[in-house]
Amino acid sequence: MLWKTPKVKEEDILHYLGSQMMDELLHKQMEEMMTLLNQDVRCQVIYRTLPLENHQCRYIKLQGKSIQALLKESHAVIIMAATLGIKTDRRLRALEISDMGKAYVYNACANAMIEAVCDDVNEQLRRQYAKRQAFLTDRFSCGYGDLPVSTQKTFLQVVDAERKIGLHVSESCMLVPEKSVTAIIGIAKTVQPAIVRGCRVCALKEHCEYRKGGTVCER
Amino acid sequence: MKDKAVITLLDGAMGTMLQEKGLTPGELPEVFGYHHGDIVTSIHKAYVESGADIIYANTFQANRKKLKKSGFSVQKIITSAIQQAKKAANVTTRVALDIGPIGELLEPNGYLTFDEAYDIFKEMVMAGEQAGADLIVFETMSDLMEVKAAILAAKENSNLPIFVTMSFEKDHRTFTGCCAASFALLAERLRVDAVGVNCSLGPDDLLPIVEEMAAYTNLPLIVKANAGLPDPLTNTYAMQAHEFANSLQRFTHLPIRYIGGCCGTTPAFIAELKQHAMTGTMVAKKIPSCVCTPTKCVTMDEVRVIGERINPTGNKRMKQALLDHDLDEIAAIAMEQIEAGAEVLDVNVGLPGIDEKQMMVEVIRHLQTLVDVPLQIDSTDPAVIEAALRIYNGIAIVNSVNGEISSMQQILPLIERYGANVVGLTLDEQGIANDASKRYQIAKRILTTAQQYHIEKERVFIDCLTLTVSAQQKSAIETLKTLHMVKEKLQVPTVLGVSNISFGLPRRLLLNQSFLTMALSAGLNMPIINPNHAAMMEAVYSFRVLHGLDVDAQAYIERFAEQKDGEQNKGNEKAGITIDMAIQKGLKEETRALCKKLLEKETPLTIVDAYLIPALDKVGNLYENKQLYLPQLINAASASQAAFDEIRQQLQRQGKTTITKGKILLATVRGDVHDIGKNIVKVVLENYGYQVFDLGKDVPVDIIVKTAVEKQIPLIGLSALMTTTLAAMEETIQALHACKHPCKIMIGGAVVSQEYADKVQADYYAKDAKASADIAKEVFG
Repeated sequence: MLWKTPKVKEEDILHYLGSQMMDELLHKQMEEMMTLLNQDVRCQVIYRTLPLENHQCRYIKLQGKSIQALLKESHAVIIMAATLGIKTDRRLRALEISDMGKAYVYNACANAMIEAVCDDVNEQLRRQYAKRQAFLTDRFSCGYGDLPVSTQKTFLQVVDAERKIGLHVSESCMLVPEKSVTAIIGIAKTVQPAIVRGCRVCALKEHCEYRKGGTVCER
Repeated sequence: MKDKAVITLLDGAMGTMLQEKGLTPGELPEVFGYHHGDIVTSIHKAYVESGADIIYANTFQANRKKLKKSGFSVQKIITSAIQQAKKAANVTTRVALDIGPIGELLEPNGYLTFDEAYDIFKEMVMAGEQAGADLIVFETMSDLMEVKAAILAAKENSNLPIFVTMSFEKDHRTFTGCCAASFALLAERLRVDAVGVNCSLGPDDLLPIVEEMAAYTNLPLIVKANAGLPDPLTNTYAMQAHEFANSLQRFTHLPIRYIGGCCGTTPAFIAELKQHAMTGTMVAKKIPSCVCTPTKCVTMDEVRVIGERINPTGNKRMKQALLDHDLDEIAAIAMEQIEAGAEVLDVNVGLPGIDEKQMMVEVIRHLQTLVDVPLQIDSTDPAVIEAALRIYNGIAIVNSVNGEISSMQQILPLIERYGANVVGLTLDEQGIANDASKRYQIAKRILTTAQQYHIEKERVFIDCLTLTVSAQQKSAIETLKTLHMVKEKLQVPTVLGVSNISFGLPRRLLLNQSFLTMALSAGLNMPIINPNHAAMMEAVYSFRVLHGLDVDAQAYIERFAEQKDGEQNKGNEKAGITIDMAIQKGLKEETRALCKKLLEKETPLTIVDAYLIPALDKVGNLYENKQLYLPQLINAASASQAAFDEIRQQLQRQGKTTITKGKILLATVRGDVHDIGKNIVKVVLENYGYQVFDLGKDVPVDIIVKTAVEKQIPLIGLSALMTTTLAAMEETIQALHACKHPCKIMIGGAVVSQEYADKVQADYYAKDAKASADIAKEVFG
């Protein structure tokens, strides 16, 4: 389904830019690139619920300790996929040729926007389930913790993402369009702790250069 | 009633029905169907009994990519599915081989090649025809390039009728951005048997989309709508059969011939349609003259500027780009012209020593990933034209055919086969005629011959030829006269290369501009000009106002509101700023202007060594000390790039080679398509004066090794962003070591670290673009 384009916070864009400083040019670029991005994006979202039996889903192999920890109290899961559409990919490629500075800013804006879309979807689902006395876990994506990136292919299949939102995956598990996210969310009968996002569960935390440089992914 | 046509009923959903019978999420319906033939046949039977005249076999995803892991061959699945359908058919039922998207996006949106897609469809088409299908249906398509591969595969490998439908969203576009007009036009031009829409929306939302299609084709239309929109959580459809049929009644003013259902519809829906006994209209209308890409449809009822700069003749920048195989540079030339106002781009890559066919295909493919304006394929070689037309995504113009019999015999069949438009040059075996009436006669002959090849009139654009006024002064008037006659009597679009007029005279732009205005007045639609020359575009904008095309002078005002007469060429210089400051602040235009000034007194090498590199070093140090961050570093590099452009152009004008401090190869490894990081590194390294061989993304190991050895490149930079592609990086490093080519290897990317670099025996870990420049300095001294 077409999803309303969310507002993106400046601080989130700065996070993706890896910048702790705003100057006149960057500010101008951010405004200009946000306008362009808003013209280019077609947010598409699809999700569906699947039951769990003994913490396993019949249709998806959920490998790894981190996903098991996430779902330990869940009786069902929501599989979601979201994309900004193909035009952002094309625009980014063109900007990389005409103006790398703008391309870098556009890229950060797009990253912030796809996250904002997912946050929006999450929030809407959380409210829907709260009415039924059900609680959602954090959103968890393939490649987080020890959940293999290859699980992505199954995620797309179960939501019929190719057909429903035009989201594809390459043989090496790259999503096309690039600015897209797939994720799993657990549904439980008790309130779920928010623990799974950011550096603490990241498999790369030992060697991450951003982390060494003081930039952390925790919100 | 004479003007009403009976509608043939198609079937409804297969997937929805199979899910009810036990198909699980993620399972291939074709494999499930193979094992449960009785279920599939019973579904088909239910549709036949409810009134469907055409049933779609359960072959939607029966392609070799999807079946890869199933252990089944394409032929086996398709043969069995067609038989299952035939079992359910009565004597009048027709069975369609149903083909959906392959599941991977084609270039330029994705990574599947056109030829591979063609081959995948060909295999399915041949299996389907052999199994006894009565027609071929391509449906749920979202990518026009894939549609074209599919149609060509069907046309060239079978004699069955072809139906094609795409899936559109509420904004009248498919997921890949393809618009309804471009799809309808291409289907019409490629001579399929019916065209339309399926899936994605309910009938109400599809109506305006089908109306749009109807304006661009006279083909019979197909509508296979969903039962409204699904509930996102339960994936069920709410619309009832009678609502569905009622809603489809609103389509009867259109030339609809085929109606069925898609997701959420059942035999009850088809039965309801049967009861309504609907009809469609029989209108034949004139289709506008158009060129298009998937996302943009340009009609020829206005002045449309064709940019002439992608042509090496008299254009050193383009010539160098071709010699260097620098596709990004060619794309940059394209983008500059579009920015300046070009609506179509002429593409000519003919240069001695260049394989024109291969280059044409590569350039078109690359341009289509980056720009959305239609292209004009400019070549005299039929083999080049055919190769380009085959992979062209949309409807192109071919420049050109002429009045010679041999030219028409070679070119016109290609125009017909690929549905293109063609420029007809008004010359023949006798050369260029001096007087207008003779040129007009040639134009007429080209047009008549084209129509014999079933090329409609609106697809032939006549070029009345511009001759150099300094050599043949009277010819200018003859060109204008011819234009007038062609426009009046033949009523076809006209095209003209304008710039030739002034060759050999001073103030060429002045003559070009005046001649352009006169030609537009005489009936020229498509001037081929350099849109980067402000005077030329100004003439076009003025003409549009004076000719009443630019209503209320809106476009004119938008473009010129900020300008005053005599101030057009005001520079972008800020007072008192030095090039060093301009770079540090990332000010592109100021840097460019200051570099131009410096070039008046300094040598290019001095500017690079004494101004640009020190400025970048300074920025680099500020970055290291966290006084600046990555955006500022990249903006500084972009600004310095503007200075480099100026220097390079100056060197090209003087016929000198560019400055290079050493060769570096950059590539994002196989399987990885995230390359913004690598591209940032490229910009920075180029600005330090290194010659970067950028192999792009998803680069196979052997290509990296081969290029490194052949071009004798001493520093190799590899990038990877995903843990899944680190293996390919390691493999590349091993292959480079194994071939004993003397080189250093630096690696980078989000998942790469110093520890990893040590482990895989890379020489350097480049944590960012700045680090890669430091490494290059160390390697090259």
